[in-house]
Amino acid sequence: MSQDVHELLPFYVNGSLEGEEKALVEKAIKDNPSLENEIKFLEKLRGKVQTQEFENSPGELGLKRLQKSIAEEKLKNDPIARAQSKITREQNWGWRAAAIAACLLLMLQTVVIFPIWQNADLTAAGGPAVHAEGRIVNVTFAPDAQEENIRNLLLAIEASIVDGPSALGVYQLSIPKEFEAAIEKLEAHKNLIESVDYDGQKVGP
Amino acid sequence: MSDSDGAELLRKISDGDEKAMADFYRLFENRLYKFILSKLNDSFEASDILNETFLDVWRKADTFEGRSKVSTWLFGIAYYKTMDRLRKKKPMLIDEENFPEIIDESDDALVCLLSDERGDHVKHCLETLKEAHRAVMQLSFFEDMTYGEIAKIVDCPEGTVKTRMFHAKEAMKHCLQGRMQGDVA
Repeated sequence: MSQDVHELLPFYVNGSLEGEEKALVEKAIKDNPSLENEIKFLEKLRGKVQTQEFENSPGELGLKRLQKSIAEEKLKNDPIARAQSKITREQNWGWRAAAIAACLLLMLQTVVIFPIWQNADLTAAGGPAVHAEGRIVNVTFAPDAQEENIRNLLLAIEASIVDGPSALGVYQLSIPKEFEAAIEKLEAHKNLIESVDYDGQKVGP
Repeated sequence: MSDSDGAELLRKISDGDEKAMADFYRLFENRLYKFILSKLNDSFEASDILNETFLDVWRKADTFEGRSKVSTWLFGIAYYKTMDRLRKKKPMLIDEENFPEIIDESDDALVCLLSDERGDHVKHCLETLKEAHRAVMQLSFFEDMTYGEIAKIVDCPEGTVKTRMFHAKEAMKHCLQGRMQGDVA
């Protein structure tokens, strides 16, 4: 069997052979039935090649990518569009420069004004800050305690309310000196103070 | 869609019609991607080549003269770009003479191939083919092209296409027989 016929067999199998060449192969098959095996092999091989599994093609994403490339290409080749793009870029750069300048101004203001604020004797709108001093004690007041009586007691032991009331009605008092004596006085006024609790926590100077 | 429809799309593309370009892309994208991927075996690179190929279509649509089928012209661009990428990655020789002698043509390979379970062997053997042989095999059996069309795509004489296809087929037999003997052992 000539090499020519063997070389034509794959194209006979894929159906692309015509005319004299097709007739030549068909005659060769008729004369030599063993070629049938070769044909079967090629048919199976073609089937396997056609059913190969490939990863999915890029599809519409690939089209978007192509359209972007084409847009860039058109921009590159169109002097008017390029000029417009340049103007847009320059405008964008103008905005960018303005934004940078604004940031720098803000930084400058912070550097200049913040130390002035720190040195100024400014009072917060909510009133002067309470500076806790001494040890802290948690107390709850009796429901029927009078404000005047509580005030007198706290003044007597030089205590200040530094926090509270909590959701459970607990206030924090700071007691700057004579802590034990102050605790005794608080515990003695059971008509005003329902509970006294302290763990030695100390605040302030 | 017929080849003349593809030619009409190319004419519109050459006038800058982007919708025609999108239609042309959708018409050929899947087949072309598989063709490229079968040689590169790398989906990212195959996507790059696919994009470059269609971008070339956009640039050069007016150079299509209708002397070949649209698909032949398109696959030719893709083939050139794919081979160029492969050459940059690893220099290779397309040596028709340096081909191993084929062992006897027993039916073993055919029997092996007839079994569905041997699909992975076929895939493996296709991957071991030389690039030039695999390209011809793909175009012959996946695209069912004539050897004349393939010759235009891979830019070589028609006789070379037939020789490459013959060698590709023999190499597949050789590989499948080897795989089968490995299984038996």
